[in-house]
Amino acid sequence: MSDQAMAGMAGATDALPLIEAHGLRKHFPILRGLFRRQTGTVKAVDGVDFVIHPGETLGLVGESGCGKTTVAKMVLRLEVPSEGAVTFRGGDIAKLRGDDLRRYRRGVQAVLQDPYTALNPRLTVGRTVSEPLTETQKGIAKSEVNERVAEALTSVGLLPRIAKDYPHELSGGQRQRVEVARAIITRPECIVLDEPVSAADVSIRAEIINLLQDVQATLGVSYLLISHDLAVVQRMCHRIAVMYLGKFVEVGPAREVATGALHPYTQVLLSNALPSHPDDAGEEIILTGEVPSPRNVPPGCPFHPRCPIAAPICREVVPVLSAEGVGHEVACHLVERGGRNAAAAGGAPRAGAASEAGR
Amino acid sequence: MSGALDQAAAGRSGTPAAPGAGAPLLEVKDLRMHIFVRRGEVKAVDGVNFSVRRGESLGIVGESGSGKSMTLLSVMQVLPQPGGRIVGGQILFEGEDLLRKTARQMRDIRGNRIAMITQDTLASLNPALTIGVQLREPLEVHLGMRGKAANERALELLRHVQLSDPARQIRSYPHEMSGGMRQRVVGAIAIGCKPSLLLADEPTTALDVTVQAQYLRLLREIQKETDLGMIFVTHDFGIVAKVCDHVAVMYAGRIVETAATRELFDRPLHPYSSALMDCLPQRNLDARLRTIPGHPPDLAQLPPGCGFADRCSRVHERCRTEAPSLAEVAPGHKVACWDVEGAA
Amino acid sequence: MSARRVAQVPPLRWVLGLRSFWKQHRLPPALPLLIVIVFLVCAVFAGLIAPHPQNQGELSKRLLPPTGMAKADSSYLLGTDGQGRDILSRLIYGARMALLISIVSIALTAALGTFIGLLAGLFGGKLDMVVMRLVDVSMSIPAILIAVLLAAVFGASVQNVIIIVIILIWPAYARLVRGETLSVKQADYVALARVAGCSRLTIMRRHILPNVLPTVLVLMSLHVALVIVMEAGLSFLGFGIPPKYATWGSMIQQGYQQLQTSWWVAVFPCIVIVLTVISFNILGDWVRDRLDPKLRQV
Repeated sequence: MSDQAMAGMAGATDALPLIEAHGLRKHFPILRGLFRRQTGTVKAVDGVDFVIHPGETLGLVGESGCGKTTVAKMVLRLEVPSEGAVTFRGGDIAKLRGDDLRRYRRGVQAVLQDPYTALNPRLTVGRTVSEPLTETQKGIAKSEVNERVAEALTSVGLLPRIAKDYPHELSGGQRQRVEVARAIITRPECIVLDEPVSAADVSIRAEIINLLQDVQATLGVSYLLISHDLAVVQRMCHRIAVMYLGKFVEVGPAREVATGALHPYTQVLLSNALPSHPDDAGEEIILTGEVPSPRNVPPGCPFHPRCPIAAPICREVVPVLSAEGVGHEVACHLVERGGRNAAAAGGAPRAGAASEAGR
Repeated sequence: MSGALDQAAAGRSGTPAAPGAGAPLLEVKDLRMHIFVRRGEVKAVDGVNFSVRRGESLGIVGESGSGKSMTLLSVMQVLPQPGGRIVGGQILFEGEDLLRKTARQMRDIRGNRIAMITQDTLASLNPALTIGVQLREPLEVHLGMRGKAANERALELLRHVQLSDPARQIRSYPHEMSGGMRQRVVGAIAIGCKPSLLLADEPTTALDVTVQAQYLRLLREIQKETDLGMIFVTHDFGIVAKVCDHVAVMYAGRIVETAATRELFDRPLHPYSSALMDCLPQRNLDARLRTIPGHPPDLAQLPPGCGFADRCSRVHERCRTEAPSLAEVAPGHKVACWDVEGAA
Repeated sequence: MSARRVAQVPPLRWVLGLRSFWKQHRLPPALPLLIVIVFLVCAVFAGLIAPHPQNQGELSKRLLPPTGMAKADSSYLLGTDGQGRDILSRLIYGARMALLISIVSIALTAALGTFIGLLAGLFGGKLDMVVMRLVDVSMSIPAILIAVLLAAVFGASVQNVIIIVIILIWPAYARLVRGETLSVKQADYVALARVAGCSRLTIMRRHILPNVLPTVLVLMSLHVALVIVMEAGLSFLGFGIPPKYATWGSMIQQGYQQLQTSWWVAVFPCIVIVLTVISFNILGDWVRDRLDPKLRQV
């Protein structure tokens, strides 16, 4: 895993990036009144760049409303970027047509959050699983489809005869496995995982995490994993991007971000993660308030109103991502070159956040 | 109050409170709640014992379908309809058996002396009424507060749950609020009548980590201030580690292990408890996650022996024929398993 | 009714067996089904079943009471009307007219309304706005006015009734299907279908239509009842089916003045309308339950 992480970090090694996002923005107009006049803009995604290498997992972490799902939708070509582009093997996916588009559809699949609405209740499991195959390879023989469905179901740990069942006959865990089977049937190169386990019970969550890791090990597929659960992201990802109000605030190798987070927001997320033992509940930084609406993003650093260490400069100047280590980038004014951020190193976080020593 | 706090502290540090150190707030004895459906009798709660003291929080942990939510609903006597019926046991709340109360008396207790918060805040708030109306309602019904006094109290409650700008929020509707804010409002309604027991059913599952941390902290603070007894139903041991003094692990309608939180994390004895703990993604990041093979059993057709036998890695012949009962293996630590020495 | 009979006679094994078979296979409720079948048979084979012609009466036999009452003629089971026509036969022919009107108008409307609703829901934007305004306009036109107008210009005719019915009920389908489409469109499986490479047409056909159709079918079966009532109402007012055809509405219209002296002329068609309408409503509910895959195996 760490080798792959290195490969990811180093960026342009021999392997060509599989997916790249350049200056990705998605702005939604706010329309009001009878004549649908535009009264504002929701900056759901506001300038995001990333690469996903073959076989690599990139994690996108953030609170709800930070724009991570919109990024996923743009990668899946379900939303058109307002600016910037997503490329798949070097080609802009917005410009794909015909066979090229079908090749991209075969190459990039998805598993979505809610296993209850992810399966069409009126299609059998077999029909659902085979759909990406039959839609992207028109004229494929029926016997081959059946064979591939059975193969996909077997590789996610389900019996092939489940293909005849309807979704309502399955348990939650089985539905999630069916979703994974559907995503791997075209032997894709990248799967977008949007909160794949957040709706599941702990034991099913563990099963699906293991399954996804097994699938990656056997198929060598890349993942774009979207989650608000840092524990899941740490476990599965080679690199992590932390997102806040449409922007990346920290990007880096998973280990480094998890143990040496530089951005105060990442530190908050880490401190708020659930412990695995009562003694692990270390210092907890409790944020006041909630994520501001992306309708009116605060000026300067978008995080400054909730930031425990905000300084005057943060209110005025938008920080940009800058390298702090190999493949580790942070967007914070207060990070000293090459290490810890000033205030965190200086001791307790300043006023503006309630914090308490561990219980 | 300080005595109760000491008790809570004692509970959390792992040493169980000495016997007779004040009567428990809630004591559930051999509670059985079965649901009668066409295909048989679903033993949703099948002989459950536990107790909660003032200022203490008990976590009930298990997978979905383990009967943990049903236990809470049984205490509230809001049973699943049709078919849900309590077929045995006692629910002693402040010394009185709730099962002997009339429907009317129970209505006076629910939302007043025992409050409940659930996961789905959108469903537990009425979309057609403002937050203020919904906050005032229990105050008016249970405490007879009227007009200005009720309004004042409602504002005070919103301040208490740290909602920003209460004077404005009190006039807003549920759909105008975010999930975290709604959860706070639900919390405010629950503590409105100063209950002595709060039942929480997965209250933070749908929330973001930061909001979850805020809310758990808030519940903890309220609990300290008002000396509240709390039952926290969850499937996540991480939440237990964060907020609970005691834990009861539930499986197939029964409690299989119960202990002080730290003790259980240090020394999980029942195979199910340790398996559930090892499912946590934050545990042991380098190793492959452990999973629990198989499914929970059909509660309408329970096997004669231990309900966990089919999924257990340490199963014996005896487990399939005879159900183990809870036995104390260390002070305050009880487990129902044939494989644990000194148990059963 | 059948339940009471089972209780009176010693419980025959085959009766109980039939009942459990019925329940197990979730067959439609028996009595409404029976009524609807009788209705359909009458409508289709009216010419064979009816003992008398629908429109020729003998004035000498006018206003005969139903069998069982004094002065009844046993060849007129339900009596005769003011022109000496057999009520039973007219009821049977009336069923034919009611069925014809409902099938034609509902099939046309459902197809049209569903298509429009699907397009509006799926594509949204300007098309959606135009369609929804059209729905509003359509719903605010007083139906009676159109009926009077059409009757005045073209004379009362079967086509007019169908046109009026279509104008009256298409907005219900368009609106319902649009709403359902909008909600189904949100489901993750539609997004995943796009990821799978499905075209818009495939998504509409495979993922949205089948999930919208059950509601349409329920609405259709409920509308059978509504259309029967509507047709009766129009015929009652004289704007509907021309008098040469027997319809339930015109039968009531002709009978209500003699309600005190010869009640049977108006009461029998009333009873038939009520029974048919209730039966179609109950069957409509059954259709909805049956088409819901989640309820399929309870």
